[in-house]
Amino acid sequence: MTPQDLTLLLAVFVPFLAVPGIALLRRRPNPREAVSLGASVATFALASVLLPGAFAGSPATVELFTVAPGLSLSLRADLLGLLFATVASFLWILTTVYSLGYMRALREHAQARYYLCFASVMGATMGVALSASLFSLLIFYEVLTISTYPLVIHEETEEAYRAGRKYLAYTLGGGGAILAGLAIAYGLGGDTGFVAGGNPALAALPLPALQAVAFLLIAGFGVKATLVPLHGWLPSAMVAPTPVSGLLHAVAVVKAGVFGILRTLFFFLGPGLVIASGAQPVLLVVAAITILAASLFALVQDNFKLRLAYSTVSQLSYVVLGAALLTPAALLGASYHIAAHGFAKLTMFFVAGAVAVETGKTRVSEFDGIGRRMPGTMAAFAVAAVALAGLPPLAPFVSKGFLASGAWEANQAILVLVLLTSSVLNMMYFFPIVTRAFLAGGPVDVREARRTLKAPVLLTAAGVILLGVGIGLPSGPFAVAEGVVGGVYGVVPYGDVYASWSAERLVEVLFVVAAAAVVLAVLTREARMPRERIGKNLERLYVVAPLGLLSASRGLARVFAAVYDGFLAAVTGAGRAARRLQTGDLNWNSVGLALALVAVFLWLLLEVV
Amino acid sequence: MPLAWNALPALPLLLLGGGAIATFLAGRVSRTRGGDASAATACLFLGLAFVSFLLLGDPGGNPATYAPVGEATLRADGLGVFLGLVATGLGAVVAAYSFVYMRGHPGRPTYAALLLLLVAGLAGIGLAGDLFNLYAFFELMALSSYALVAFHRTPEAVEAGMKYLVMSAAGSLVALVGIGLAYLAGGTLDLGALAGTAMPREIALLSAGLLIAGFGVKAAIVPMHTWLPDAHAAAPSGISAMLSGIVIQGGLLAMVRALAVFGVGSTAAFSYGLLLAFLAVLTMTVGNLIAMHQRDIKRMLAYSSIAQMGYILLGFGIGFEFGIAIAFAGAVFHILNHALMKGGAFLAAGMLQQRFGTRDLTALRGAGRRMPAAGLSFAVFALGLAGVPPTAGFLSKLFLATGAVQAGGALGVFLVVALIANSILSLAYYVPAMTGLLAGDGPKERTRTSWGLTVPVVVLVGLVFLFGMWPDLALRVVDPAVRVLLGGG
Repeated sequence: MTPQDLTLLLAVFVPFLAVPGIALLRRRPNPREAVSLGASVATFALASVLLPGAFAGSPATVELFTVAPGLSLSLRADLLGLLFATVASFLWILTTVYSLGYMRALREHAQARYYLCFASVMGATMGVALSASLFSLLIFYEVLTISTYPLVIHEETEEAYRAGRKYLAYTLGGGGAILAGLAIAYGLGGDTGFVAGGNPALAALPLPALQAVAFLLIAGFGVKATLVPLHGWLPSAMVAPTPVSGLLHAVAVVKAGVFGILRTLFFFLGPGLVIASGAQPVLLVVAAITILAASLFALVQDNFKLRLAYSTVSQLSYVVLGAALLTPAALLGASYHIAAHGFAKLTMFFVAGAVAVETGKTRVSEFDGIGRRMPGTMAAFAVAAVALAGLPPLAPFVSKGFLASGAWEANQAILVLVLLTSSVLNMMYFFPIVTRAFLAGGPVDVREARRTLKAPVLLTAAGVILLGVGIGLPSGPFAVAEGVVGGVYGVVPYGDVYASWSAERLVEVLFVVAAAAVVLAVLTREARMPRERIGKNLERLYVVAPLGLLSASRGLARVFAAVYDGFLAAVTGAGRAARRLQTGDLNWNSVGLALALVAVFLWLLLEVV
Repeated sequence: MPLAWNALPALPLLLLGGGAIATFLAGRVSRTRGGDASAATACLFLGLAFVSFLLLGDPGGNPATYAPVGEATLRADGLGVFLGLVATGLGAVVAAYSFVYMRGHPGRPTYAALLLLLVAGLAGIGLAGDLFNLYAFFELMALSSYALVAFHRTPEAVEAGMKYLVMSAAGSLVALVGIGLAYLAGGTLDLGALAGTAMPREIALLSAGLLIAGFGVKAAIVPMHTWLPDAHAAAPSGISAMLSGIVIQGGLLAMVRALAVFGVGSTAAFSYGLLLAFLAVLTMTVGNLIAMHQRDIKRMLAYSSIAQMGYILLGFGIGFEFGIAIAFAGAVFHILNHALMKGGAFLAAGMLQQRFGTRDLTALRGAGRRMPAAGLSFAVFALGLAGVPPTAGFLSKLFLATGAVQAGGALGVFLVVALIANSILSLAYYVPAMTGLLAGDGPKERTRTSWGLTVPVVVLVGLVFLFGMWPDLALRVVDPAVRVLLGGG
């Protein structure tokens, strides 16, 4: 085993090694958190060290065990994996610092369990990122599912338990779908390894099997990637402590689902087979619907974290959309959006947590004036909000730009329209928070967030800016994303996002900037109005502009709920009916034997004839 | 000494049979310490039997054969050794668990002796080289399990035992007729010789049907499963672990052994594998659907056993129909994993039942928090049964699904979807049971748990993870069994 391979092994297992450490130190908070912090720093360092090898085209590879030929638990540090791994582990460092402030300020119970599960989740995330085969990925993916559960139910309220059950049922169900896809691919193709551009072993699959594999894998990963209508668990899971919602439900867990889709499309099936399977149009439509529907759902949420959750649902589908377009530029945008959205959304969750800790406010309608008391925190939020709206020169601007180019490349102009609409919707649900916080009158008994909360907030916001303006950084995230595209397609589109602007690109940017100016102007006027009129006017703004859309979104939500309820009722009803067949009466029991005999003979007689 | 070496296949049976007598006698030694003495003796002999099966090891193409009387032979081939190892291994764990669990019960020597006889029956099913031995040991296993189900002599247990006895005896009778027909047609009872004999097609068909239905009662194949939930819920928890963990699988393996004489895959005289596969789909669906609405933790586990038998039967069915190695491997591996997981789950449920005095899942809410060893172990077993990695249950389910795919075409996709849809359906009861037990909104003070109960359960948890992450160890026992099933010896 070369030093590089050992580094890879440690990058995945250092977080797991921290688990017993945290368990041993469970009664001594300071050393315990030091272990968490040390593990996060070490993991990030180890992942970064692997980058040069991956750039050089000789990624570290480790094989842990082989169950059967083509079915082995193996790791490989390629660029796509390292992109996810470095982003997740870097944000883990900041989240650990933030958790320190958050958990202690709220005097949360069971902190040892919290840090322990967090470390385990991060280990599983690293495993998902650095898996070299679908088999390995599924194993880490399920470990991720299970270790997240105690974090979801952390508050131990009835609501938390309900959310936990929902979370497990959704995600384990998704895992089952992946298992089915894996079994079909392995049973007929004989291999589960990831190969850039698609595993050649799968080319032998007959079309129906190929379709089954593609749709099962997409549906399975789609649960964690919160593709509508599989997104239901994420908003419920917001009962978890805010750092969990931040890192896990905006970066690690949900991105594992998105990452799984990327791996499936580009490293397992490969673009050619995806097109052959007919999954591409379906995935494009589902992603577009998710982007828009989730934005609409976000628009009507007053609970800050729920609004962020629906925004996450929407943003994750940017990545899915980019993947499904199957063009180099779109893949570049999709990969980079993992990092861009990660930093921006984590900033927002950090702000949500900081505000909740310092003021106890969790509703957007209560945010009036807090920006003037917490300027640093809310300024960071403003940066993230501007970023997610797709305004230059921040990180999501870059990724969305490439997504739009990819849509043009694939002759899907309508998807460009979807992206632009979503940008406007983003402004409509994020900007009011900023204008209210800074412009509206509000409470005076509020203080700026404490240092352990504020520092991570500012750092992630700085990251959003840096990822936007610093795309030329050698070996930076953008270079890694370019490397991913190079690995799959052999060509890298547009070396520099600012260098060659097409006419369409210019129009898009101008449109987004103009829309932002309009939305901001309206909101500013609203926010400056006397307090008693604000509610009405804001409502008017929302009612007049997207009235039809809003009622449509509510109707859509009702349809989903009805479908779920119907399905559940059918299954439980079948269970009850089956149970009624079960009798305690011995006479009837023997009828079972007689029935079986008859059935068996009928079958065998048919065989003879 | 060649003679003694030849007799090696008889060694485990001698140890178990002799152990049963020794166990019973040990209980008579002292009025006060008799129970402990008999329990310790049972552990010792089960451990020795386990070691003797390890000694038999992988026999390769030439299994040790021993014919003490006439045509009745004992043959230690891969499948036999596999069944023997699982039965004696789980039996030893259960005996160790029962040491504390049954403490204070006046009937402990009888209990321990019956447990040994049960394991002897199972080991004999594995070692039987001919249909006569197979049937005799099957009956030995069945008889001791009737007594064990009704061991507590409560009305519930007696009723369950009675029902079990009637159903199982009826099944045995049907199977016996099937065996008789095979003997009639083939002219020999030896399994190896029968496999090479061409039989009249009609008689072979009749015989196969009777064997499937007859042994199917014991294997709890729907619609012959009705006795199982009562029996498995009413039995002492250690015995529930044995019944669900290996006894019904023993019944299935007896069926598999007997059916194998009609040929495997393309060499089969007629198609019976597909029938098994469809019965399997029915079995798993009905088992899962009924388990969903159970409020009694042991009844829920019992129904889940029916569903899991469906998974195992699916593997055998596909294996027999198409001669697919990985389907057999999945079925055999799943028997091993299911023994660990379901056995463990019943033992954990037994700990909870004994401490909190109830099997009702609502009343047990939060009980796993107060008894973390039982609660967390139960969670691991439940996840394993649901097929979540990195537990061993995941690998065997993956094998089964892969095997189902290789059945080919629309049939393969149907079987995979049925398997996975069922495994997702099973989450509807595993997840609430697990999360309910571990919910923290009840009383919080921990309760003391005896090491004698915890250690056996934790050992099983360890094995579930071990076989999930280093399957080589388990596959070393599974692969020879698969070779036997494929007819390679």
